[in-house]
Amino acid sequence: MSPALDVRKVLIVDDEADLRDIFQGILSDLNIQSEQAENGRAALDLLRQKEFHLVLCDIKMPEMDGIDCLMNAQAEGVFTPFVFVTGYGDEDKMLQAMRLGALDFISKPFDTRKVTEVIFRILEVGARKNRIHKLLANSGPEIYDNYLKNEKMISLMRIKNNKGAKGD
Amino acid sequence: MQKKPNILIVDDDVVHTVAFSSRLQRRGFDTHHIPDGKTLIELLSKNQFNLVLLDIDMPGLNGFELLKLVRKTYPAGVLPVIMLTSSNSSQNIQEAFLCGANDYIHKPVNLDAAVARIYGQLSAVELSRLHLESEKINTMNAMITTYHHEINNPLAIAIATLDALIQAQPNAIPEESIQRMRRAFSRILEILAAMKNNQQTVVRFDKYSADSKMINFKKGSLK
Repeated sequence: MSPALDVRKVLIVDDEADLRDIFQGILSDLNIQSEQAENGRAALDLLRQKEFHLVLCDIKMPEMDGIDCLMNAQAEGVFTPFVFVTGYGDEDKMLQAMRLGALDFISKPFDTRKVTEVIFRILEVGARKNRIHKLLANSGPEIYDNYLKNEKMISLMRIKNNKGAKGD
Repeated sequence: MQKKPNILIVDDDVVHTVAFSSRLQRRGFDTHHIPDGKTLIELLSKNQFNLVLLDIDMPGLNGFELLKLVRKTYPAGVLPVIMLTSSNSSQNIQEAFLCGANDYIHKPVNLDAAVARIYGQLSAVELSRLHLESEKINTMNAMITTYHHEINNPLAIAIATLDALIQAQPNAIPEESIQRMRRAFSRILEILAAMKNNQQTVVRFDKYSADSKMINFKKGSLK
């Protein structure tokens, strides 16, 4: 039943090393593997190289913030689900993230049980999506290609809308 | 209850000023009149005047000299001064602005024009006050957000670490100590919430546009 049965990997993105370690600790207690990145840029590099099932991402970070990381990932065709970790004052950014397709958020300070609940739920969503991918892939290359194209188009539209909304 | 704008008139022509003063009162102003500048600075420091009408030609210190004195303490954006001049010479007008006047009115005074000029100055002061206030609130809000963030992060680390400790070794920490730590955390959280609630709504500057001047004008009083 638990999605941790098959190998799951979470990418933790936060500029605060202690917070990264805490998330890693929570995840390893759940038997979930994880890797760390200290900002959006480092996260993007990792997302390009490896497959992750969830990105647990801070919003405010130096170099590249969480929103830009999500936007860039989607633009490059990486559709790993994002869950954002937010503090006070991030409300506007949070809205932006949700519009871009972020799946959930965890507000700081957080309750470990709540974090666990969110992680399991989103991993389950990801697993379901993967099953759909597999099904579609099995139903023929044309259908699958169309599906991927659609997915990419939707995310590009979101990014475009988001850029428009930023301007006002 | 709206406060009437308080105007100080400095003019040695007592007869005309008394009449002018009472006409201004009928238009909704509070007025105070002195015949020369001897007590001007003292009066300004003791009372809250919104505007000064200052005659140029006076025995003793003339209007220009008095204006220079006033401007040492009260900038034009805080206390508007309108000069009263009986001459039409452009040199006088130029001199008045050089000394820090906000505007001038010709004598004999046309009441409607004078009231319009007075309101023009009062509205400008009110606008710049609102502007300053909204700047202050903006800065304050930004500061609160930053501090909130800076406190919230380490607090999140502390709370999560305590949770992890309890989970790893359920009986290692005495219950009393756990409760003490939790109380300390919730006190910090309460402070953070209070900080949040103290953020003020920014003055909607765009709402105080030209028409607010009109409203004040008609009511004959200032916010």
